[in-house]
Amino acid sequence: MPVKVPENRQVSPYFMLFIIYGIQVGIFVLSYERVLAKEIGNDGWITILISGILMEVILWMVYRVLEKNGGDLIDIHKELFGKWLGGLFSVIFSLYFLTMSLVVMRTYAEIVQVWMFPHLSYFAIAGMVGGTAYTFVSGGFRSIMGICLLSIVYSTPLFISLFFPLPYVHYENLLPMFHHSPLAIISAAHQMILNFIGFEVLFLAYPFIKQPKKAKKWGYYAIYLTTMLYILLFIITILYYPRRQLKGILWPTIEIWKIVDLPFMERFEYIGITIWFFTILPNIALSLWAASRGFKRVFNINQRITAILMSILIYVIGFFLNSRDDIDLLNAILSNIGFGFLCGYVPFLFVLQSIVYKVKKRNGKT
Amino acid sequence: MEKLKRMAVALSSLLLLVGCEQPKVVDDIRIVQALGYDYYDESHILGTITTPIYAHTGGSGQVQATADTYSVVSHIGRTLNTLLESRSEFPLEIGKLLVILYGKDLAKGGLFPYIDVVNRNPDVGRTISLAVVDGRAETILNHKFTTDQLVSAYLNDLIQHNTKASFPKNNLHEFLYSYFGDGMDPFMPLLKLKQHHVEIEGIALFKGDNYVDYLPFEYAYPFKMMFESFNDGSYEVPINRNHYMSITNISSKVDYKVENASSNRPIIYINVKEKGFLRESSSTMQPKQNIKEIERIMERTLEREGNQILEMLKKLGVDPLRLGDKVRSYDRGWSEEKWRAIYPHVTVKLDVRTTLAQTGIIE
Repeated sequence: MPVKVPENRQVSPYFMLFIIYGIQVGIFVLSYERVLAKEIGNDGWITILISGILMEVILWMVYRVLEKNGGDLIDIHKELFGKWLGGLFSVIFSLYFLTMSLVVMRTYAEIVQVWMFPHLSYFAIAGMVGGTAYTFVSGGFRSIMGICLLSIVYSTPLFISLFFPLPYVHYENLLPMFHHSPLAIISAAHQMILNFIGFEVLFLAYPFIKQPKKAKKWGYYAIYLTTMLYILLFIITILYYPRRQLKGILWPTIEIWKIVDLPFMERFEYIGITIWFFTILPNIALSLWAASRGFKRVFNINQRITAILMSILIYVIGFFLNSRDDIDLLNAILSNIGFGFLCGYVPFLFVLQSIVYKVKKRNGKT
Repeated sequence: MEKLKRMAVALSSLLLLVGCEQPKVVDDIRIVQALGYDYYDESHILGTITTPIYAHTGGSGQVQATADTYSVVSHIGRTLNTLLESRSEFPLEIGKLLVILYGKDLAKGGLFPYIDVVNRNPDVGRTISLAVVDGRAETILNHKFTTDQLVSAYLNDLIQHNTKASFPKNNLHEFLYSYFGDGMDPFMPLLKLKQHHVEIEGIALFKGDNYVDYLPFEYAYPFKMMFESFNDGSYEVPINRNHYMSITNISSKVDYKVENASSNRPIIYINVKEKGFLRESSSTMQPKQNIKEIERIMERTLEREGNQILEMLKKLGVDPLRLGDKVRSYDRGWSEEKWRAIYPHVTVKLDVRTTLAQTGIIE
């Protein structure tokens, strides 16, 4: 029997946009230009476009898989792999989300330490971020949707900062176009995956959406929106920096804020990084929610208890990952898992499910 | 009630955590506004800083800033910080830095180590001014100028004000862009102390990060015209031996085209379109000066001066106009080495078109 969520805990169809936008746009927006430019240079925007299209296709698969079953991923796993193996897969899925919240929290703490408060300890920053995220998780799915909406409202004024680098852009930097081979352009797509992962949260959040059929289009819009945002930001960055310099800049988006010159504000990145807190909050809250929700559905334990245990767990693990190399490694691991999950596991699930349903149908007929 | 209590505990613990950061009270720090680097000897450099001291002047309540400037000699490769801190009663903060000066002798040996320190520091903005000093940076920073500003703000304003009218745009970001970019070389303003004023002597040209030569200030306008598009420039057209016409509010557009980009003899076309106003008030009008004729003289003069600049740059082998980058954008097989080899022989065709309008209040 697929899971049913009471109507008073559900959200309106258009919240699909906020879920996906909220979890996709996050900490890696501050740094993705560098890795992409390192690999593919000025043609990176094509890569972003291709990965955006790919993500739309995968979103379509996610919808199909969910619609056929009518429940969430835990139901699907149970149906396809049985109770034990399915349960194991579901736990792995939850741990994947836990890793995601850990990576986001640790990377944000590092940025705050480097750019704003070099003396502030990890515990203070992560305590504030994790504590706030937990309060939203404990408030349930609807309160997380609230912060997703607010994060968009709060971070939109940051777009104004993109006007400041315009006097310094050099359009020659985009030329010559298609400088790299098509294969290189496509294979660079894995560098973009960290910016797109997260919308798998739908596997658990789908039952929380009223009239899911109506909500589907909002999901496609959300990915379109994030893709356009990434392309815009990437093009501005490429026009603003020579490639050789960009390769050495760890957070190009933050560095662009440095050119913002306001009479009352010498360092705009303080504002930018502070506002970015509201952009990563839905990231952490949603992934923490997904992780604890997975455990709740598999083991039937109170979600608040798992959520608080999980926040403490990532809080402590984050402390031991204290060097730049550790954080880079963590990002690389998440990137690989995310890539494997979205581009490997989801299509696999899609194919397997349609085969199983076909077989069932045939058996049912005869 | 129970819930409220728990909330209060959580909130107050957050406040405790925030207390970990060291507070920086503005009265208890020294704000470094200008930095100067000079050559001292083979293995030492002379570093100079200027920090404002804010003191109340009597009972007026007004705060007048006075500059405190001091220098230290440091070994090459050591940061100046420790030595500078040893002479300062408060911690030095670099976040409000406005200008960095480099002595010409030091600039000849390469500036990158001194610029990289600033580049890596998250506290420093990207719009600060850099300049080479013909002479010693220390002398300028120690000089008492007749201005109500500190020497740091004075120098920064001097450079930035000139960038608006007739000097090419430059700051830390532009320097880094040209330094890191392929097929381009950076430049800075060259400053000189003349009695009681600092004057922009010209454009200091760099090869990589080494100072090589400079373009005199007279060439700054034609350089700017080829370097960037801009609004609100001004230029004086020499009509004859001792008569000049002043053109103001010039909006200038530059457009690059490259032919035969992948060959060994690329042809670069620089097309400049200028629109300006003839201000009769700022020059004595000759009777019946034909505006078409002034346009032609202006075009010819700018083309001649522009070509002189291009010849000089090619001879020096430096590329502050970023011509290499223009060729790169047309050529897939472009490489820095190849460009450097052919740069002295490339053909550059400069074409200036001017449209002037007359303004004045008397016919």
